Amino acid sequence: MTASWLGTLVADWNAVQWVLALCLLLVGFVGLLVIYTLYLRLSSARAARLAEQVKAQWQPVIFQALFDESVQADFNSTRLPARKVAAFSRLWCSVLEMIEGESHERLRRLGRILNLESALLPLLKQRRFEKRLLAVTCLGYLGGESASHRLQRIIDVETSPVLSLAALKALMKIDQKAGLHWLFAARYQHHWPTERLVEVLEQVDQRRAIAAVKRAMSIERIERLPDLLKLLAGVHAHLSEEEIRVLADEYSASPDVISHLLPLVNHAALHDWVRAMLSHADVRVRIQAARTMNRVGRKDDLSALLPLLKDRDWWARYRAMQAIWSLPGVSPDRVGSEVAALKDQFARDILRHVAQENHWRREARWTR
Amino acid sequence: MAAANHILLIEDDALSGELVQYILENAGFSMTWVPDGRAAVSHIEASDSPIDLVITELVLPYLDGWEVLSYLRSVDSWRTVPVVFLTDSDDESDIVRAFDLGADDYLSKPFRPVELTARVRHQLTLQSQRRHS
Repeated sequence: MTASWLGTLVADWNAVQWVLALCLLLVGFVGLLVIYTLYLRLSSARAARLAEQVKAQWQPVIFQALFDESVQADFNSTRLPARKVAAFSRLWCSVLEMIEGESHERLRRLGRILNLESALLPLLKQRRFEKRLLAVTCLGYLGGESASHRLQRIIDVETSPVLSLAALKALMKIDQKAGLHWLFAARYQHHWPTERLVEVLEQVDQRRAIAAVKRAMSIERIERLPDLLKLLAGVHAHLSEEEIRVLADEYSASPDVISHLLPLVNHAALHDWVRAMLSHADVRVRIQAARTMNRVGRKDDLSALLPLLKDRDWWARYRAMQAIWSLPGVSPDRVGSEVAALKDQFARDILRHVAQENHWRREARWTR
Repeated sequence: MAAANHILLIEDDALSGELVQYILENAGFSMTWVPDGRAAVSHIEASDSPIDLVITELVLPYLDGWEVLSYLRSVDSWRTVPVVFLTDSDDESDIVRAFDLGADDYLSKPFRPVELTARVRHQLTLQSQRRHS
């Protein structure tokens, strides 16, 4: 009896010890969380205070430098303290993003006089992504051969596609030739999305961008051709009739290439080819052919577009209806009666949809 | 000495507002800066001193630039006050719509500070000629 009572007591005591240990662990964990939260709050408050200090000290100088070149002479031997570099750079870049012309140049010169490039080097080595991104953006505004080399090195070795793309954008500001080289040399290494590359190419002189994409088209593998055609369409390029015919013949068996080739068509001479593509077996080609009809369509294309209103794909029906709506010399009443004659619910639905959309567009433009 | 022309600036971005204010004050204009469309309308309704020109961003909290412009063009005493858009948008459709609605000028960011000053001065000169004719 006594032994059993003692056994229970020892077992209970062990359980109590376990519970106490768990409680201590929990208290310790909560304590750590509280300390970390306090640390984050204090760091954030310190950073905000520092940003305020930098703003109070440097914003008047930056604003004055927009108009007054002589301001720069006062800072010839000034070096930014390391802890203020990030806040200053953020302010400097933000103002540069808002302005252009002579004032922009004066502000860039202020950055060079303050030797901002060397000051940015520690930021480029930081673990914090936001700081590195800021440094890369600033290098683009600073310009110069040395900044160009640093950016090219970042594009080459950086593992983050966001940062390498920011470096490419910055490089384009300094040296378009080098930027275009890296755009095509490193795009697959970094998996840069084509849409983002279009934004980068928009910074470049259009003729130069088109020439660079066409050069790449002549040397890249066929799997990459659709992407390159997408880049061309992104920079609003149009291929000549001859170029389109050559590519269309060569890649007639590739719906991927044909569907990316159609947005580049802007020639009435290619009308018959586009019209033929309206009945292509691949839905991507049918959709793009219908879109292209917006530009090259004629009154007599109505009969070729009407069957697409019964297509199983919503986008094909939608693009066909938009093309019909934009055909010269086809009145809304005629469209209405032709669609009614189709006796197809999907065709009627898409007519209602596009008619309503056009009505809203007109309303939005004229009544607001 | 003639009083400085008074400009109402509607801009929600602090740095952008401070920059435009600095540029135009530097050029000799007197400025009032409000951070959103609703504050602009309140200021206009409560204002005793005349405002010679309004500069507005397009995308603003509460009331956007279109709504502020429509309001200004619907009030008799404000119908002829020049309105200049200074905005991040360079969309053709926005530019066309601004002029359709009665804006006097449209400038996209990034902008040239001297160009902004010149355009503001030009609008004020036109306004002054209209008043005297």
